[in-house]
Amino acid sequence: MNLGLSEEHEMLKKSARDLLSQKCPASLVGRLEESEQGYSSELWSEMASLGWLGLGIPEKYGGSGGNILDMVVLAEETGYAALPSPNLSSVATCGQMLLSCVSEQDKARLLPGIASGKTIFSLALIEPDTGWDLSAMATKASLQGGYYIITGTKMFVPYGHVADFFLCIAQVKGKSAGRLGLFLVDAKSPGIKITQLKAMGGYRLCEVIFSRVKAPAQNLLCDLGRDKTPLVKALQPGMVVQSAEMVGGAQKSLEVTLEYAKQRIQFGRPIGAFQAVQYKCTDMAKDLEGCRIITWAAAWKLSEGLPCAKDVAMAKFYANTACRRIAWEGHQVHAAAAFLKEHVLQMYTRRAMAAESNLGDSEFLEDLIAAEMKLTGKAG
Amino acid sequence: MDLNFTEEQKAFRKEVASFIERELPKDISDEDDGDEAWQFSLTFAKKLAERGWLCIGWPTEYGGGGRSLIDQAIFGEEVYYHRAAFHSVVHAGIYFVGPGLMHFGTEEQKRRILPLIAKGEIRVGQAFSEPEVGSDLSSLKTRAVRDGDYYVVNGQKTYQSWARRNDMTVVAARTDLEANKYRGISLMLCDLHSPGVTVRPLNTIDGLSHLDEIFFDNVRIPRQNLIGAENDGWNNLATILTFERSTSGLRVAGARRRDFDDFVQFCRDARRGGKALCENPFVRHKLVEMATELEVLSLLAWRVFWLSSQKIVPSTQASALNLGAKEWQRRFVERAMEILGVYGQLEPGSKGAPMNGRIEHLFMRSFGLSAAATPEIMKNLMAVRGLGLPRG
Ligand SMILES: Cc1cc2nc3c(=O)[nH]c(=O)nc-3n(C[C@H](O)[C@H](O)[C@H](O)COP(=O)(O)OP(=O)(O)OC[C@H]3O[C@@H](n4cnc5c(N)ncnc54)[C@H](O)[C@@H]3O)c2cc1C
Repeated sequence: MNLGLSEEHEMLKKSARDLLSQKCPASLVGRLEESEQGYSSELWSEMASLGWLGLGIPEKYGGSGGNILDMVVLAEETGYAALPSPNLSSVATCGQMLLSCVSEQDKARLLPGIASGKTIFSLALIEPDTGWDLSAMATKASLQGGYYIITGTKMFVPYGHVADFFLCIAQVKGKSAGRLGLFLVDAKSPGIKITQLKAMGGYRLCEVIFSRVKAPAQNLLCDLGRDKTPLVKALQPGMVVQSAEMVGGAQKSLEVTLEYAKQRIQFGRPIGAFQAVQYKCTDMAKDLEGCRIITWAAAWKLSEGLPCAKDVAMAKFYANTACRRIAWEGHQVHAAAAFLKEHVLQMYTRRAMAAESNLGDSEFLEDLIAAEMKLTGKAG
Repeated sequence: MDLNFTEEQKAFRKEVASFIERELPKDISDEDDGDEAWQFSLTFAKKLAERGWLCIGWPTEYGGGGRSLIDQAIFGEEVYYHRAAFHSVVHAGIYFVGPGLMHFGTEEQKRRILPLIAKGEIRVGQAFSEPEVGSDLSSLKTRAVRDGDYYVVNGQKTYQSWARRNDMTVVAARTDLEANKYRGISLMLCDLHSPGVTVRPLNTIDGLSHLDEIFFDNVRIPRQNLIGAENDGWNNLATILTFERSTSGLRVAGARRRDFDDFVQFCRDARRGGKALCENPFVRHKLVEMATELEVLSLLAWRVFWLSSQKIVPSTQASALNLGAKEWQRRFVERAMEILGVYGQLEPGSKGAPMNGRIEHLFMRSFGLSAAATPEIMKNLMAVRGLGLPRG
């Protein structure tokens, strides 16, 4: 048994912390949030050249052959720095989806671009009134003369404005009606309309409308079947990496809060000397420890190829609630100080809230966990 | 026990509501901090004042309507429920700075200042908090030095609600450096248009600019604006804060109730996966909890109004209300965000934002809950003063 990080992990963590604290200070994050593109191409290239984008991709597809646990270690640091980038969506979500469910040939064709950062992928999944109810998906793809014609509206498509390809989840009409398919759609295809949404999290999210968009028949990369299980399974790496980013953000929120509690003087002593304040800080630390270990555990199981549907859902579900509590306690300790835009804490709070519904909101995850727990009565 | 309003009170409520519905343009939002909305709210406050409503619970000799506090609360509740153009800008004057002056101002001050507030001519604030002094107000550093018929004030105040829209503010300043820290504080009314006053906006995370800093650089305040005795400001300051806290009920029974009603309506109208959102058990459970808690709070709010109207100081009840209101607001936005799920993160003005981002806005605003006092300070007060526990 070993419930700690390896030496390589510690090294990766440290080099990421060093680099990001230097190249991605809060001031840059603030500027990027306001910028047209929403992230820094320069930093993106640097991340690629350090091999960060290919961490979870086998060497034969241009990656460095690591696993989800490596990605999780890195994600804690990108979360800690609140780094805005398409990493989570293109690399962790789409990259790992491709790795887990498309043909050898498609992997060889698509993964090297992801690992090198040259191609940006984005998942087009959620619709205007489905929420996380995946069974309600209305986007349809029908086969006509060697092409799938895709029509539907997708929301919360991460960095859709710069994506080269969308992985669009749509109902396959025709031969295999009622099944969900994973479609590769070139973002420059005619019939695509992209609008940026204004969202609190600081990551760029778009609405993407597909109006009779043509994709060659072989762009149905994977038949996901009638049930949501294969799709959820394909999303697991993304979920865990999202949880890890949340852990990193929560770590930063705790540190900022502890520092303030030691330095802010009221009634002649640091506010951290008041038990009311101490209890908030200890609650934050307690939630954070829990969040981190359950995320690591899920990542380890995933890396080992062990069954982990419940573990992954629990990790994200716990992160959802725990990180919101952490954000709130941090604000309580800061009182009015963190109500201001210039304060670093609020950036992490907005991130945590947006992350809560990314790759599984709590209602969706509760259902997954309940199903894994077999919380269904006997029929009849 | 009788929970009914009198026929006159019911009629008054109806009259206020229909007046506001008639006069309030649909496109003016209480979340609009632009100049146009501001101009409108000035005119609107005057219209309310013309009808004698703005300070309906004040004595007539100071420009009030001479009616009961219950009427004042009915008015406040309706104005907040209808989101009538920035009632929060006039809130301080009507509900705590004005009443404070009434309690410990000179007769000259009352006759000079109160009618201006009641007529909607001026807006007032309270300048207590400083960069280094929040909960521990007795350590405030802003200085006021006597110079003939004036005080010369130097210092900085922060987190000042609507300072840039205010005409006057009650400054808490230190007038005796030697005395025990509770004994050297004085309150004085400062004209914010005086030379030496600089107001600088702060950017808050709810996307609305309503907090400012105020810098005082050798600002001369006439001695006749001293409120209460020199060096005797501490207790008066605490009283003003108590008044402020006991009016949190207006926001609960008015503004919060409206936010909740709108949200419930949204859950009836919105469809997810082909079904009305409110039919989802996950959603129903949360709505029912919120509704019940809001009912409790509204009743507490009315109990506090009623106690005040009977000239009973509602100390424990007011603290319970204030704490409960903060907690409810927080729980409401959290649960509403959970219900909205992935759509909740969309900001006002975004494509696809439910209720045009109202919940997102309220969520961000809920981080400003330390207004008037942090929950911990409220709990300390309640434990010691209300429950007789030993001081920590
Ligand atoms: C929306 C808004 C409007 C405001 N409007 C005004 C205004 O118009 N005029 C004005 O003067 N001020 C205003 N304020 C400021 C408000 O009064 C202060 O935020 C409040 O008094 C708390 O002070 P602080 O924010 O400096 O927090 P601090 O006092 O620094 O508190 C930091 C933390 O320490 C805790 N703490 C401090 N002392 C103790 C203790 N003894 N025991 C336990 N815990 C303790 C607090 O609870 C909090 O968690 C406003 C604030 C907001 C958010």
